[in-house]
Amino acid sequence: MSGFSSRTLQFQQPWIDAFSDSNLALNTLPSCIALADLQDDADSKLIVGAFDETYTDAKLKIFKGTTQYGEVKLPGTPSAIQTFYSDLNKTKIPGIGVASGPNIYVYKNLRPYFKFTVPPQSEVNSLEADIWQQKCDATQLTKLLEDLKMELGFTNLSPASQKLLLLEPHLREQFVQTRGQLALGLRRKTTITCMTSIPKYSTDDEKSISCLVFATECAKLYFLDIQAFTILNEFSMPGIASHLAISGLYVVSYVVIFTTRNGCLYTMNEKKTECIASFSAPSIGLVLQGDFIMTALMDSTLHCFTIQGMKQWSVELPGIPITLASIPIMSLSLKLVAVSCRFRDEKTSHLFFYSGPQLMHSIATPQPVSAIIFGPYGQGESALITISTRGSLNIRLLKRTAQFGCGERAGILALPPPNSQIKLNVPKKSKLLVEQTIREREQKIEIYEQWKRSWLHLNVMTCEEYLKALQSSAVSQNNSLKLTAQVLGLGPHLKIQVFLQNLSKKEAFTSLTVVFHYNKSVFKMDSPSRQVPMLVPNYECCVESYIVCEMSVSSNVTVLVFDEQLRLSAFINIPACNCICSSQ
Amino acid sequence: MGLLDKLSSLFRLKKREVKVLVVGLNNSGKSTVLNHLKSDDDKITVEPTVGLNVEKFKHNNVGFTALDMSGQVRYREVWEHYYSDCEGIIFVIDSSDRLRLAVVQEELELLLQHPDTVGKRLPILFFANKMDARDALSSVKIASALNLHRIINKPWHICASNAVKGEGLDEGIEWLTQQICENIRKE
Repeated sequence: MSGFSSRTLQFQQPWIDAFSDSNLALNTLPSCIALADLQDDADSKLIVGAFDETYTDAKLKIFKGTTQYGEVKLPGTPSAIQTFYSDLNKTKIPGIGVASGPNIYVYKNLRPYFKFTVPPQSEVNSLEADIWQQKCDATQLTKLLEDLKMELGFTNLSPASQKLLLLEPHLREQFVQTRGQLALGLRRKTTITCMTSIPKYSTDDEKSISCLVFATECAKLYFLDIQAFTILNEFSMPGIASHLAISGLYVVSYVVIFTTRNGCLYTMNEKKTECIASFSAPSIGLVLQGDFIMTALMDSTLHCFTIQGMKQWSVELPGIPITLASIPIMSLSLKLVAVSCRFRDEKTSHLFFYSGPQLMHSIATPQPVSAIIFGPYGQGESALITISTRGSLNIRLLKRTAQFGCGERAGILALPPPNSQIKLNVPKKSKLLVEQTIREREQKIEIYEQWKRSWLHLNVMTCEEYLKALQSSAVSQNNSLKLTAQVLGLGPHLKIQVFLQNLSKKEAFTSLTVVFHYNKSVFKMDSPSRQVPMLVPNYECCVESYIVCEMSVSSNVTVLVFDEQLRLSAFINIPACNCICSSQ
Repeated sequence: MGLLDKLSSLFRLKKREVKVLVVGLNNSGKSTVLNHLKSDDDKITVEPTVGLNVEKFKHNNVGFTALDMSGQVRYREVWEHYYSDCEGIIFVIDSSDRLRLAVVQEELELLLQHPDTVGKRLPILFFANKMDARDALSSVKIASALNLHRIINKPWHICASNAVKGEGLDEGIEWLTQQICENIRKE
C-alpha cells in the first residue's frame, strides 16, 4: 500500500485547506464580500470590497481560483456589496451593487454600469436654515449651531453645519465665506448602512430578477427596482439598522429582519413592525436560515428566534464573536452557523460551527477571522472563504466524505481559564464621592423613597415582561399532557379514540374529563362527556366513544380536556359519509 | 483454427476487451478525452456527465470499454463501485485548477485506500489535462504536488494533454495498453 498513512490523522478534518495567502492585505468588512458567477461560465468568483487601513483607496477585487482576476477602483469606501440579476438575457451576467455613502454603484462585466443615489432627506430643520441665512460671522454662527446641536443632536444637522462645527476655529471664517457664496442647498445626505436583496418573482431560480433592499442612517428602508432604478417602497424603521436580512418574495409577501444599533431585533412586513427581542449588547451579525434567525451579540452569546418571534435557544460563545455566517451543507442536509471568535488573550482565535445550539466543529485560525462566506467557488460546490483581520485570505473546500459532529468536538477547546482574579479599578476617594456621601446622609429618606419606587417599578416591569414571555413562549403550561385522537370506521357509525398520556415525571392528573363538542344536527353521540381515570406518569389512557352521522356532510368534532380549567383541545375533521343513518 | 489465429494467440496479439475507469473532478475533461479517443462518427458535444457513460474505443488491437464517471461531488461516491471490475484507471486532472489540486489529492487518496484497489496492481494513467491553459501547471509539478512518487505498488504514468486537440492522449493510452497487456500476460 502506498504510504499515505501519515495523513490519516488529518482525515477527521472535514475541510481541505486549498489555498491561503497572508500577503494580500485585504481589509474588508463582513458585508463587503460576495460570491457570484460573473461570466455565466459556471466558474464562481469571489468579490471583495477592500480598502486600506485609513478606509480610503477602496477597490473591488475579484478572485478566480487562486489568483486575483480583476480590480476596479471604487469612488468611495464600501459599506455593503450585493450581487443580483436584473435582466432576462440568456447569458446571466450578475450586477454587483456596491453601497458607499449615499450611493449604490452598480458594476457589470467589471465596468461601471449605473450610479444610484438615495434621495436626500427632506429639507433640514427650518431653524438651521434660518441660522445660515442670517449673514453673521463665523463665531456667532458657530455658537448658534452649537445650541442647535444640543437641541437636535449632531447627526441631525446638515453636512455643512457638521463640518463647520468640526473645523479648527481659525478655519471657520473662510469656510463660512465660501459656503455663504454657494446657493444654500442645505440638505442632509444619508448613508446606507446595510444592504441585501430579495427575489422579485420566483424563488426557484437563483438567477431570477431581484430587488435591492437597503437601510439608511436616517432609519429608512428602501426597496429598489434594479431594472429601472426606481424606488419601489419606502418604510420608516424604529431605529438605525445595523444588519439586515430578508425572507420571502417581493411580489407575494416578505419579512424584513433587522437588528438596530441599540441592540434590538425587529421583524417587519408591509403592515407592521414587531420587536422580537431587545438585547443587552449590540448584535454583530444576523443569519437567516429558513424560518430561523440567528444572531450573535457582543456579550458573547448566540441566540436563535423563529421568524414569528419565538425564542428558540441561546448559548454562550466561548470567545468574543467577530462575525457569523450561514453554512448550509446540502449534501448532509445540515445547516451550520459559523461564528468567528477571538479570545481575550489575543493569542488564539477560532471558527466555531454550530448546528442549532450544538457546537459541531471548530477550526483554530492563526489570525482572527473578520469576514466569512460559504458557497460555490470556482468549480467547487462548497468553499469556505475567510478573510482575517490582518488581511489574509483562506480558502477551505468541504471534503466529499466530511462528517460533522462525530468526535471532532473532543479536544477542540483548550480554552484559557476564566480570569478569576480581575483587579477592580477602585477609584480613590474623590471630592465628589465625599459630597455624595454627605448628601446621602442628609437626604436619606428622599433617596430611600426614590429607590423604593424605582425598585417597585422594576418589579412590575419584570412581572409584565415575564407574563408576556409566558404568553408568547413556545413552551406551554400543558406540555406534560399529550392528546392524540383518531377516527375509526367508514361511517355512518364511527369510533373516536382519544389517547391521553401524562408526560410529566412527578404530577398525576386526577379529575380529567373529556368532552366532545359537535354539531347536534349532524352527529349523534351517546356519551359526549367522559371521565378519565387517574393518569399516572407515562401511562397512556384511551377514551373511546361512538358517534353516528345523521347527515351526509363533513363536519368537525372538538375534543376538550378539562380539570378545573381547559387543559387541551383538538379538532377532528370527519369527512362526509355516503350512507347515513337516519334517526328514528 | 487458422494458422494466423494460432500465431496471433501465440504472440498475444489477439484482440481483447479491457475495461478502464475514467475518473477525475468535474470539469477536468474526462468526457472530452474519451470523445477524442472514440472513432470519428460518434463524437458528441460534451456536457456535464450525469452518473456515468460507457464509451468504447480501440487502440492497437485492444478494445477499450471506458466507464466515463461523472466528477460531480454527488456522483463521486459511485466511482468506488467499479474499482473491483476494471483493469486500469485513467485519472484526469485539470492542470489549470490550482485551487482544487488539494481536492484531487484527497480523491486520489480515497481511491488508493479503497479495499478494492489496495491489493491490485492497477495501472493508473494521469492526464494533466488543459496543458494549453495560460496558468496550467506542468505535469512534473502536478506529480510532485500530488506526491505521486509515493505510489509504489501500482504502475503510474503522468502525461500532459490537451483533450480538445488530442495532444498527448495517444502517448498515455499507449502506456496504459502496454501495462494492461503486461498484467494479463503475468496472469
